[in-house]
Amino acid sequence: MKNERQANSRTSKRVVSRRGFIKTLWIALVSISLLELASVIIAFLTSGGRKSYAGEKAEMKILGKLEDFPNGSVTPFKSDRLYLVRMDDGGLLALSLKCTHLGCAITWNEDSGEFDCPCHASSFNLQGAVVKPPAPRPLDIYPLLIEGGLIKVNLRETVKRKRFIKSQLTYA
Amino acid sequence: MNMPSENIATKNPILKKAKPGFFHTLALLIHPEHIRASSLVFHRTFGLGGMALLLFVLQAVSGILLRFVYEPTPAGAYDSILFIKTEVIFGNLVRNLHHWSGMLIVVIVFLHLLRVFYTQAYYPPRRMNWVIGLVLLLLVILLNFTGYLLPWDQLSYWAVTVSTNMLEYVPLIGDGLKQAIRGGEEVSGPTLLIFYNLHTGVLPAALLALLVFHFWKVRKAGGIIIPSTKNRDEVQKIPAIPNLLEREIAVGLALIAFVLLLSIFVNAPLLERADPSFSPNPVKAPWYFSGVQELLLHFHPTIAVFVIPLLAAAWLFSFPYMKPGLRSPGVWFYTRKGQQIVTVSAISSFLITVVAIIAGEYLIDFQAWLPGLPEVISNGLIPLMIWGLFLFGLGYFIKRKFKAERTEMQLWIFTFMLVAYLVLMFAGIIFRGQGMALTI
Repeated sequence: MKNERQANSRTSKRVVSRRGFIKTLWIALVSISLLELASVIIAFLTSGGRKSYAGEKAEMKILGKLEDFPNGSVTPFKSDRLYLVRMDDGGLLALSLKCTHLGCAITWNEDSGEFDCPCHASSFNLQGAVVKPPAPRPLDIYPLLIEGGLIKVNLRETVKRKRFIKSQLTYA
Repeated sequence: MNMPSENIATKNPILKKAKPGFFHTLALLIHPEHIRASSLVFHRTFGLGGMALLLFVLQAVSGILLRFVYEPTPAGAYDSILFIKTEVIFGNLVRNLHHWSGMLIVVIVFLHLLRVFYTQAYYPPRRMNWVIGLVLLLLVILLNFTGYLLPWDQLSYWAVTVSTNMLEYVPLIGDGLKQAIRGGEEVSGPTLLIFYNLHTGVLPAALLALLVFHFWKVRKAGGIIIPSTKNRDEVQKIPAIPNLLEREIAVGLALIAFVLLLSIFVNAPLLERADPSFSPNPVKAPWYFSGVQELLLHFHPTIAVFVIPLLAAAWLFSFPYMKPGLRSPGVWFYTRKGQQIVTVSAISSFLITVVAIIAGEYLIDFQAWLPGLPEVISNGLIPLMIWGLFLFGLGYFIKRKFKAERTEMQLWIFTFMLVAYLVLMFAGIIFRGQGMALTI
């Protein structure tokens, strides 16, 4: 018995015993079924867990008439979680309410002319750029569209940006 | 050691012999017939593991009760909590009990970890149980955290918002991780459903399975760790029932009394209904994460929420697998020198962390000093490297001064991390006011 085995291993290491073959087969089958199980769980969770339940928001939402927002005004839209800013030159910017540090809701501070975050004291200027860290980047913005004197916002598309540039403003 | 128990019992009148009965047999489900006499000494364990188990049972009972009334939807959650508080008979008591024992279980499990570490109960045959224990601690924290959201008030909503937002700073997978855990971009309905399911289904099931494993490994290791001794009285085996059982019941009843009294006199917090458009000031993470939140005020987020916790966790999981040093199993702090090192480490860590927090608030501003560099380097890698060098130098000094060997240096590292985190945590809980400014 012992000699036989030694002989086997000497002639060729690739000889697979019947037992070894079946064992490998078992391992392969179990791995495949585990993979199947995992993919069922992942597919279930990714399709059912969020997309359908989160609901589709309307693509373009009307915020109001253009003439209702004078130059140099800041208007909160709390339920849409944004601030509509109209610059002194008439350019419009829809700033997300979410602080880019840890996601707290910023508030407009009339006295300092800045947006303040209550969580870690970050502040942002009218353009949404960071005035005081720890916030790492400017406030996110939503694309705006002016049609027939109405301001519309696309809430489904959050735009992350590194810095403020003039082209982010929307003009009538 | 294989002496029949009768012999010992007749020699030592304090040790009683129980008559086997229904409850005796029931107690034997989790107890061996005989234990070593010296494992009964209270300061070996302070009964912490048993307390954690009892608190878990209390959590299961009160949690199942709450589950009959609670509604896991953003529209219904807060109202169902109000209903539990005001309409349900004993509702407020059950909710308070669930809140306070949930908080206590984190504390007790953490103290249990300290006991295991400082009595060196992490080398084989207990090494794997150390790792299981760390995972259990993680599960307990996750259970507490997922439960934190369920009241859906301003406290829970914003605490979970800032805590899950911390995940965003994990490199590469952070954003996906955050969205997966929230079930979307924001903390909203899907988040509540996910947290509810994890809190009342997935995590308790996982915890229970691992607990059974944990207890089995304790039994396989021959019970709790005790110092090796030649004293015959201490190595004697005595019946676990009633000697151990009586003591467990005493500790358990005292603990239940304490949690009940706390629940009768102190209400679990409940603020106004969650309002996603308005953050209260200040917003704080749950208390056990407030050390991480404090780190966030001093380091770039990737360093604070990812690199530092990862380094600490890697060390905790791996140090029992490194080359073992001096062993004196079961002896608190190992040696006389070990006690000195722990004391020095605790005091120096306390002073250094306090000074660092104050300096970080008023003096140090790497971002302003190095304006050309990206923040992750100027306020991240550079201070991290300075800290690393400083702590390494300090450790080297201690090693030379005390002629400390490997195990004693592990004491130094662990104690330093522990005290530093506790200082950060309490600074975050107590000394951070409006806008997270330091208020003393």
